[in-house]
Amino acid sequence: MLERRVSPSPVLAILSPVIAVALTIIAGFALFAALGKDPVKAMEIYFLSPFADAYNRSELLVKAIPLALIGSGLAICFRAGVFNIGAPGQYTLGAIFAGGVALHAPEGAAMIWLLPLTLAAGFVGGMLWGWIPAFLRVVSGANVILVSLMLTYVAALLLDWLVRGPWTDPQGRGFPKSALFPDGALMPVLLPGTRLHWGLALAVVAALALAWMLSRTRRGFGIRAMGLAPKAAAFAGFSEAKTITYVMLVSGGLAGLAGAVEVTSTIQQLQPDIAAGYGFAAIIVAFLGRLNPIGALIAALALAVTYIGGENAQILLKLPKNAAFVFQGMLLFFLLACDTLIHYRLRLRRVAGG
Amino acid sequence: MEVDRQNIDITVSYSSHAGKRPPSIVPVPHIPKPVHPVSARYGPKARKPDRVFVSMSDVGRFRPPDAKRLTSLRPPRARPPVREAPPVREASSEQIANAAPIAPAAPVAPAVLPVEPVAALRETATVAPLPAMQAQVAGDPIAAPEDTAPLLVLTGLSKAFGAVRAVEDVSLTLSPGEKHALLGENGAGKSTLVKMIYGVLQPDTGTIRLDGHPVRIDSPSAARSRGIGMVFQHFSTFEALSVAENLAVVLPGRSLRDIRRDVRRIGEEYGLGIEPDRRLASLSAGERQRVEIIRCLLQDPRLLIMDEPTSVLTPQEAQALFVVLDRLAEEGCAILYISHRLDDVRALCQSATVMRRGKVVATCNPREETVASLAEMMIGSTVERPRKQASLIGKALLEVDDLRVVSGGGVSLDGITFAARRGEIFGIAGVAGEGQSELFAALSGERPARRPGAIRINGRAVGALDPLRRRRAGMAFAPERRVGHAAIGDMRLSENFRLTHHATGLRRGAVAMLRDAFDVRAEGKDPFAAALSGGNLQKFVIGREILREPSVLIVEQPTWGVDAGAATVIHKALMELAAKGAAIVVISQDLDEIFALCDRVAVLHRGRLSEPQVMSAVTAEKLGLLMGGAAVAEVS
Repeated sequence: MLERRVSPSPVLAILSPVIAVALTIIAGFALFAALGKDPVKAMEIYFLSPFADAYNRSELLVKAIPLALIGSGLAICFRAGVFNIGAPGQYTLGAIFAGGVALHAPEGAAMIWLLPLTLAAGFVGGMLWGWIPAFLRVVSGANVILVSLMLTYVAALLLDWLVRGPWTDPQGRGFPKSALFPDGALMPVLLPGTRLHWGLALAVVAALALAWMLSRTRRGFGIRAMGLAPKAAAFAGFSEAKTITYVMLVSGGLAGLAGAVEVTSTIQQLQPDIAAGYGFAAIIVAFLGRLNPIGALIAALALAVTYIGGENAQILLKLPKNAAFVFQGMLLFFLLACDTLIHYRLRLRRVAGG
Repeated sequence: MEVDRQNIDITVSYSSHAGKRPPSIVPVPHIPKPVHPVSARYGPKARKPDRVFVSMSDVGRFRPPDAKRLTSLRPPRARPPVREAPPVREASSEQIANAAPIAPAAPVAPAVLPVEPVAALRETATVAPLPAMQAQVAGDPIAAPEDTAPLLVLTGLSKAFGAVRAVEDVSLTLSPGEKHALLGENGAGKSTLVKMIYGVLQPDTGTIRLDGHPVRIDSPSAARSRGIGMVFQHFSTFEALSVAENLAVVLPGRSLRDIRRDVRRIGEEYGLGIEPDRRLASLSAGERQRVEIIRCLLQDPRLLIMDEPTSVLTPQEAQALFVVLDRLAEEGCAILYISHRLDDVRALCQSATVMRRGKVVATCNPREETVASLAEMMIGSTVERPRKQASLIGKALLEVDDLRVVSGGGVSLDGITFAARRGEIFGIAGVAGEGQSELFAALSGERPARRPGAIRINGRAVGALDPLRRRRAGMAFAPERRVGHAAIGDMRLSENFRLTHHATGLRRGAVAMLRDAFDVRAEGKDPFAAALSGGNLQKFVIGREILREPSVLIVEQPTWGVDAGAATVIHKALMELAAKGAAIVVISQDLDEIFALCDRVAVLHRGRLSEPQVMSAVTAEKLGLLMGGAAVAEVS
């Protein structure tokens, strides 16, 4: 059974993500050895190749952008004790709203405004999808976890229907894809010759703004209070309903923005698969980043390594792509285990009774 | 008129269960005859409150076992041999040596405490020792006959949690077949004491002897194997499983078929009719309690501990329970019955031990007392506390007018009306669970009222406002629960300070000032609230609110579970605030506190508030009767 430690070591609490990463690497070592691959070479491809050259490094950042955007939003959501696990749906809705604006922009409209409008639409779309579970929770006590998760499937099917039906590309020969977005709706590239785009700036600004909000504003104080002790937060005058709605709107909006950024940069059109897997990976990002928006920024890079490393391993080692998800899963597992064992100690005891 | 009110009272006691199941109770088969008619327990309400606040002085005594006992009807059963346990400490081994004979260690004559006027005792400056024990009233067997060895003897049991001494030097003797009540207010140490008997907690000092042998009870399963069974206030059962399956979980090694058969057999034998295949989810609280009792009976108990058993029962269910307990006692099983419902105790038990603040303060035969005399006897004397100076009482600052809050799970507030005036400390007394937390939430705005005019501050209607806006209107609040409600354990003191000050602005250095002014002792410059002791955190919480200089302060249980030093600091601070012209409402279950602090008092009973009484004109006995639900007119 688990017994709460009287005083958890503060050093270990900070080091917990590092220990978890180390354990993941060790477990990965064993996993590759068991699969009959050279573990040293596999590890090199997984964890070093993403940093090997400029292209890989830029791709790392490209992957990290949506993860950081969603993860920092989820960080404040989880901080409030609101478990929004519907980020993939909010991401998809953001992509749909952004696509709607981009695809229906009148020819020759003022191009300067098209991209901001597209991104704003994505933010609004994500907010809408985040608002639904918050509203149902506030009005009827519905479970945020379940409602937000189920809305993910609604969003995915909505996107599927749109790209096969109303928004399908007339020149697409029946492929389930929309037309390519007009140039004015596309994210400008940050570094010529790579895919790295200005979404990076958005992610950094969003994380800094959230970190400031959480530590310096009254609203952030209310969010932290509610996560630690809901009754005390209510006593202090922070309305539970308002806090839930606020964090769901912010985290949903940021997930929607991530979706909009992604479809206006790397994908440039709507299609059934717009990598909504980011939405779930961002849960790991939020926890790995200690539920701190700045921490999420760093954790997003770590998760991006598993994506890029996984793609490289798929090409070079003929490993299945899902190996990357195994790594992500192991990382979350070890992280939660470390956190638990830092705050609790395992005590083996005879089962009472008999 | 009087008859009407009685009817209302009884209706209310049913209505709290009405939502859960139909009022008709499943008849219990095989009840030989009604030993305790319902009317005996719930009869003339005006004379016998069924729940009375318990409060008394602190001299430890225990009495020899009761001699009168019926021969066991049950065939003797084989018992596991009692292992000798090493004495816990040096001191206890001496105690064992001194108390070598099985008979009670000291031939203290059990006595009824003489009834003293409470008003006189309130004047006493220090802890007054109980008057010398007097010989018991004739007819009650006093001397323990040599042929009946006590079943359980507790000697000098103590248990401390940090600085709080939950149980201090408690001694108690229980004979086979004895129905013994353990009386005391919440937090008096009753639960801690029985947890030590049941092996959930280990005593710091003192010995537990079973059949004359010192024993160490390491766990509940060890207690069960020694024949000690306990029925908890809250049952830990699996809703989705059947009765028999639930019992199989806690009785490993028995087949489901045997358990089914035994449940039916015991059900017939004791009138505990429960169909073993029914799902737990479909059972009422009373039926679930029967399952718990059957669980204990399946393990052949010699001592059955019941923790507040009637708090979840309807009168009929309680009635049926008493029949079962009488029957068990006749067969030689000792019953340790924990309650603060004096009527229940008088109906069931022939001996009682009274605890207060961890100590035994009295033993008596509850049947020879009236409920009123028991209540009066229990409020023995009071610890020295600062006396409130008569202050100039001005106009009403807080007016509560017909406040109604419908509560799903808790107690609904039913037309609360009172006013607290400038310079006044207004007390709201009552035993636990009569609507105190609901009233606090309604006054603080955590649970706003529908009607803005239900609560007025200085004439301004604030009934519909949230806590933030009420603070801005000049109110301050300190709830009962320190960690998780008043403060957040995982936040630093500075952030905890901010919890109630962000509404009205923060001052630099205020936390340091607060720690200085209220003697809040803790290590470090800005420690986490969880690192503070209960007394220091409570001083922080109360001080935090007083620093806001509120015109109306609502505090609930301001000195609950804190040491005497902190209690004095808090009481003094409250009196000073009142003297400066604030109106203070103290919601407390501690009558001593009410007497020490308040100018006027009203009693909360089942969500209704009595007429306010001027403190100088009220006695503890009268308050006790009001707490039991009597109306002011009947009492005075």
